Amino acid sequence: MTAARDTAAIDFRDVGMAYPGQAKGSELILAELSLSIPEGEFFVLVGPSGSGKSTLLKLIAGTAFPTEGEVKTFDQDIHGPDRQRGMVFQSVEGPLFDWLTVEENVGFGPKMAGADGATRRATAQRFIDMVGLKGHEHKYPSELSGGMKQRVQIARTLAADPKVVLLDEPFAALDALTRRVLQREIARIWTETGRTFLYVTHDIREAVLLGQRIGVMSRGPRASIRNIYDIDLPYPRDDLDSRFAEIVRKLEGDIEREASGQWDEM
Amino acid sequence: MGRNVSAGLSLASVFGFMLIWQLGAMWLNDPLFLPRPWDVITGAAELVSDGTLISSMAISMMRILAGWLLGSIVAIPLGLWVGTSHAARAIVDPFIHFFRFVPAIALVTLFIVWFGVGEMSKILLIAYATTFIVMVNTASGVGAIPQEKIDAARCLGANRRQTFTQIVVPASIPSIYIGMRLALASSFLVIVAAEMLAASSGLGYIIWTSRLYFRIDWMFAAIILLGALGFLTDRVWKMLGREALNRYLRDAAKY
Repeated sequence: MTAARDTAAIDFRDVGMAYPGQAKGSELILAELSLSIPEGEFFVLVGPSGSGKSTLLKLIAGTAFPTEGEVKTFDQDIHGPDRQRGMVFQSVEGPLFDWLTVEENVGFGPKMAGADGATRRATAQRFIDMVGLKGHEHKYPSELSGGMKQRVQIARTLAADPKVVLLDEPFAALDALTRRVLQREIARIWTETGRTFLYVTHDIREAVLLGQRIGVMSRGPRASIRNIYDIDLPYPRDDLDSRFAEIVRKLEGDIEREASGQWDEM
Repeated sequence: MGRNVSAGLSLASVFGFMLIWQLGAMWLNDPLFLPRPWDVITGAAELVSDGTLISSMAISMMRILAGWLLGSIVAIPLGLWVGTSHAARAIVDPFIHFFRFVPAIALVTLFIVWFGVGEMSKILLIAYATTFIVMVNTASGVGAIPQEKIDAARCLGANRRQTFTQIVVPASIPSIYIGMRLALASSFLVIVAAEMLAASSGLGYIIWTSRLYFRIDWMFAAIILLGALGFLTDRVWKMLGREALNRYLRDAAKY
């Protein structure tokens, strides 16, 4: 992990972040945050709501910029959004392009990159198959269930061939059953693509199910990474396993202390 | 409720209305106050046979369509610009909120002074009425695009120009479409006012001048034709939406 320092997929160095218009030091959402994620890792970020998890993703996506410090990807500065860093959003309705079919949605990235129609369709088909949407290529988003829409988002993001995939609580708006199915699948998809995944959630069970490492964020404002856990369990993981339960309990304890602020008093 | 059942109900309701009208007119027995449906049909036949009705309809329709299209052509790019740029919004906003309260009808006389009694003044008047409706609708449509849609496109490699042409424009089509539909209805309002005040042709002109000849039946014929024309153009617009713009209006066209 230390060797990856220079060529890390994602590298935060003493990052502070305040949204424009409230750029006073005391109102930093993130402060003195450092984090390095090596290429190919599945990193999960958990923390109490309002701790700036989504803000951290925006800094990587390039839709927001740090006020202090620097965020780099493969040793490069981030100047704005580009296809190197794909994003899967929590919102089920918002991010899909309603006027495009599933196939056209998934082929959007290749289209922007100038791929011809045949290449676009072939690429789209590969990722539609990967997320299990075969047979739904010519449907419009309004004809799909919430879980299927999130599958389209995942396929669309991967089809643009990003090096880093950012997932912002992608299954939080889905029903429990669909969520469980998709949690299993996202671990498989990560294995198949070998890309760097950074997954944000407030569901600890989900974090332990997915992450090679789990970063726990401290309570905001001035949030940073409080603790990083290595999860040394093989995939696919079994949430009925006693070691799984033990890790979940430990993390839950950490986050509860974080949410109630007890750490600050210790 | 099935398609046929609701169509049958609509037909029955129109027929019922005609019956009440006929009975009411027979009871009042004053064709100068309320002509019978049959009187209106014979009156209309008179106007058709001397060519007045058809040419008036054509000229009114031409003015409406020309003004409506001209107004939309100006309004759509303007609305897209106002919707995407804070500076543009700041520049245009005071004018929108001022002219919103100046109806086209208030400008009829002024436009005649400026552009003459010919076609120009009427077409521009309708264009004026259309522009505000379509522009405000377009801009609010752009404003209602979820930020995630824009961010998603950018993260998929779309540059600013592509984001505009591939996301902002198609995502705004439902609001543009609905704005143009509203503007079409208001165009009918404006054209009648303009033709009443200054014209020697058009349906509004017939409605206005019929009173000089005590021909209430002519007046009715022109009024009914106006309603029918409006109904028909709206239907055509709806059909166009279903056929040509279906993929963009999947959620919007359910009214």
